[in-house]
Amino acid sequence: MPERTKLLKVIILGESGVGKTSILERYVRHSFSQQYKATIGADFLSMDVIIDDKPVPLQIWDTAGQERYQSLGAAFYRGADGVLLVYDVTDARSFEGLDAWRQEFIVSANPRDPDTFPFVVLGNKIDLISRPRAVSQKKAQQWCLQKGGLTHFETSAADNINIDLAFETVARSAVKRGEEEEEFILPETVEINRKPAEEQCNC
Amino acid sequence: MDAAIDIGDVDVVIVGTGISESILAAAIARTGRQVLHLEKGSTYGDSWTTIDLEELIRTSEIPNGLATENDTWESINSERIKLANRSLQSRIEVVANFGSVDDAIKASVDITPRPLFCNGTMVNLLVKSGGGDYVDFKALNASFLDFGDTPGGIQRVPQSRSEVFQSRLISAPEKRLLMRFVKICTDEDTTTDEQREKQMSSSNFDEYMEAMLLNEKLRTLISNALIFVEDPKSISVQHGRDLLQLYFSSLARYGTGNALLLTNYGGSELSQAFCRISAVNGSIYVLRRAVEEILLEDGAVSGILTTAGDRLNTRHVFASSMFDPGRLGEEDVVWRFVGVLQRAILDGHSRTLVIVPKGVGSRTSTVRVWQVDSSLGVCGDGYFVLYAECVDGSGTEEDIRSALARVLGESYSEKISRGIIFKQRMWTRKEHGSRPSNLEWIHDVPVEIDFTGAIEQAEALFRSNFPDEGWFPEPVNVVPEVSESSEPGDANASYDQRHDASPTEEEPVDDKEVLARSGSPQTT
Amino acid sequence: MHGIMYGTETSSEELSRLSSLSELGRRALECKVEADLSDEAEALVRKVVESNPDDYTLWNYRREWLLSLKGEAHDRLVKVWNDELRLTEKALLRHPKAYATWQHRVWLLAEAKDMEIDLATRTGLFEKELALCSKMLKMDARNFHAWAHWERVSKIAGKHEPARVVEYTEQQINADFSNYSAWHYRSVNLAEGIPIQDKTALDQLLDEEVDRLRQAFYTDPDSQSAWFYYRWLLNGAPYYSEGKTSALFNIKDEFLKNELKACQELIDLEPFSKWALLTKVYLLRRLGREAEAEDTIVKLTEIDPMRLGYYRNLASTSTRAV
Repeated sequence: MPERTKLLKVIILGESGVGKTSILERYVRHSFSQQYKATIGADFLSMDVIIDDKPVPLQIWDTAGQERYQSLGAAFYRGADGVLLVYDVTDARSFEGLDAWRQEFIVSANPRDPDTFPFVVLGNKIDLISRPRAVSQKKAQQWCLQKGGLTHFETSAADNINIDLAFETVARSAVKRGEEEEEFILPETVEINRKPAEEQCNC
Repeated sequence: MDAAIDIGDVDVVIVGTGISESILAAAIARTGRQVLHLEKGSTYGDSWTTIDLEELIRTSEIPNGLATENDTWESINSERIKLANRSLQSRIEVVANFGSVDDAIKASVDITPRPLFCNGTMVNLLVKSGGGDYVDFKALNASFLDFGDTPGGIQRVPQSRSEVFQSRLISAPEKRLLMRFVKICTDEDTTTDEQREKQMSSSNFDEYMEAMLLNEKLRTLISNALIFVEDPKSISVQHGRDLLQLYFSSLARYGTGNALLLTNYGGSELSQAFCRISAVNGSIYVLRRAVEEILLEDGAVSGILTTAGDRLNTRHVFASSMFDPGRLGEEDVVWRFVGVLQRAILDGHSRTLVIVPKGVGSRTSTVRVWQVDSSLGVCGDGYFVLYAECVDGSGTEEDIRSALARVLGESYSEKISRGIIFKQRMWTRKEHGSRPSNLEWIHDVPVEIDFTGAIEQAEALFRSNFPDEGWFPEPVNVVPEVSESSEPGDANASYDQRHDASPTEEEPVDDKEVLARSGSPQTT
Repeated sequence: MHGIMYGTETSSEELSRLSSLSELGRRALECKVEADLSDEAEALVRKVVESNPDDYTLWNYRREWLLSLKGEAHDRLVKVWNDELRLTEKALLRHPKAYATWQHRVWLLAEAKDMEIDLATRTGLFEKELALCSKMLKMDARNFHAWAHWERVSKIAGKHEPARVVEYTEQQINADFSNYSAWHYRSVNLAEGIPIQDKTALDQLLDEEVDRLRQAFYTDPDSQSAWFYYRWLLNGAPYYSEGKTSALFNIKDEFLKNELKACQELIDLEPFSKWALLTKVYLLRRLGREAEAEDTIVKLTEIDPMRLGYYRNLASTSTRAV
């Protein structure tokens, strides 16, 4: 029997200030702000992304600032179907941090077959000319290759470069992975937000 | 790792990420106040945390230092309160060890595991607050009750209409009496005058059940397995009826065939759900950071000093009373068992609750035993995590052992692949000394099903400290604080999480938009 | 649809979906009228029935299209037929009670048999259909389409397995003993479904059935389905086979007396149980105790004045008409 299309959970990880929220804003709202503010009020958003002419419901989760002091709980990572790993091309430290984020995700979310898990690596802020580039494209690609061939894009939330492509890529790999799996949510889960049983009609 | 907390002054500091603390953090953050929430441990939950079983055993082997605690007088003066140096290990004392280290056994276990009602305080708070988006549950599959020698040991408890119909435990006439009693208790409209008379003339719930012709077997079943009360004589008729209503409304709520739920991935997820609500509303989270001192000025809290040297001004401190230097050593204890099995207990249901009442054998406390399986994401396929807890503070190690013997057989120790019996220390509410009015201690709550005590504590503290604010007010939408310097299109503008924006259509952006979060993520 | 709340306002997305659907629907109908069996037309119709499985006409179109493929390679027919079965599954998930869809599925299966299309499945076609029925009944145990589908498929497959039906009805009754369909199909299949030869086994079966019913009466005396089944049992469990009606059980007065006693016990506990009293009337009359039956009818008119007319009529009729 065909199942309804599963909701895909995508999370955005990376050091504070690399532009996670901006990337999301750009993708969802087509907007960008020059000003940096630590993330407040950002939770997750749901939207459909079109993959092979079919709408795939995507839920994109922001860190709500809990990454700032390395205090994201394991719950945040759970059930993620894809991860965007973001660094700032002008900040070497943010690139060096990627390994730890990837590791933390694998340990906390414990995905089946972590080597093929859909990570997409984004080097953001390529529009910045006021600061020198600290991470070359080659260096980043090398790292991605070492980690089993992760997809890599250089992006700019400010100039809208490769943002849509990044989300489509992660969604596409998550869908593909989902198709290969039998059941990728824990069975028999009770959704407490759904309508109580007694209110359901008997039609 | 120990990056300085460079956020300036805050309105509120909360110390510890237990359930009450986390709920409070979410409620306060929702009022727009700046909250700094600190946790000494490396995971969320404090005494409610979920931890690798081996790590729990290892941690508890370290001397807990309770014997050499600070003396009250040295810890408190007019300028500061030096907090007690306690941690998770101060809460746990292992008294018995089963099995040996086996790398194949990977299990995440709760220190304070707890089933909850489908229509109970926690589920309702999660739905009201929006925290339900972050946590999932499984229904229990089966409940059992140990009837002692008659009618013969551990029996499946019929819990729903269809289970009553199929039950071999109770006879047809008993079924009628039970169902009628349930109907009278849960449906006021059908109560006759005669029944109301019996309700009025009974001085406690047990008497009431007797007046309604329920025999001992049915009374034992209702009190132990439906309303979870050790002694029905100790509660009023109305209280008993309320509990039965809670049970049956929970049974009906999600149509799972059971009134109780268990938290996927363990209880720490609940703390994390509320901490995320708090973070989404602007709170700052720092794990692995303990508070050394609470700073005082003119007899009131003025700030905190962390063990990493952070010094922040604040107007309120809410701290787990475990850190209260005036509360020495252990106060109350709860006896617990946690372990891993490679075979399901009893008839092989995956998620099973067994009540072993205190009347059976020489137990001084009722013991609740329950098993969860890999579907909760806490252990590998084919393994089961088993919990046991003494419901009553007067329980003993013997109570736990005899309950394990009832459930697993006399040779229970051989059936446990890995596990421990431990004493959990509790810093529960007790009157002592004075404290600055803007410092509140958050206490451990007694054993119960669901989280009513923990939620009530958080709500009471919230209301007394912020009397003008609402408790998770509706609507759930949040207005993010927008600073004066924001420009249109500020990155801080919150976004609508509904699928209203597709990548191909341009939408006007309003940076003051009020759509941070709303109900369920999907319209199914 | 179950558990799905529609918002009070229709979103613009939904509106555009609906309007494009009605536009598509109009074009699909044109295809039918013009008997356009081209690939494009077929794809269009497929899209519309997927969202609107109630549309008879379009399923008819699909049958015409499928029949037009007669004579094509067997492999192609297998693929088309399997795709079509999947289409009905999709449609049923969307609308589990669409007559047109269930009918189309049965037609597909029957036609596959006639056209000798080998719809090879892992578990066998019959089992696959039972799995579908089970799934649909799990979503809604009272979906009578699913029960009926089981029967029809059995006929097509030439498999008559009343024992499985009986076993299945037991599971369904355990899950919800107010499920009328489950009791009904149990009564239809019981005689053939349980291989009974000797009298002892028959007696035992009757005892088991009555015991099961008693558990239902005592758990909820207001659940009518069980009372109907009970009445059928007290009549000896009549069934129709090979052109005549036979009774499975030989009901003796002794048995009826026992049942009357049991019925009275329930009435003692639940003096206002309408179904228990009605059953008592029936049992008394079967035993020829008309005066007591009259008294019970008076009692019924008192507790249930709404149906006064029915009880008066009951009082004036003979035993057999109860």
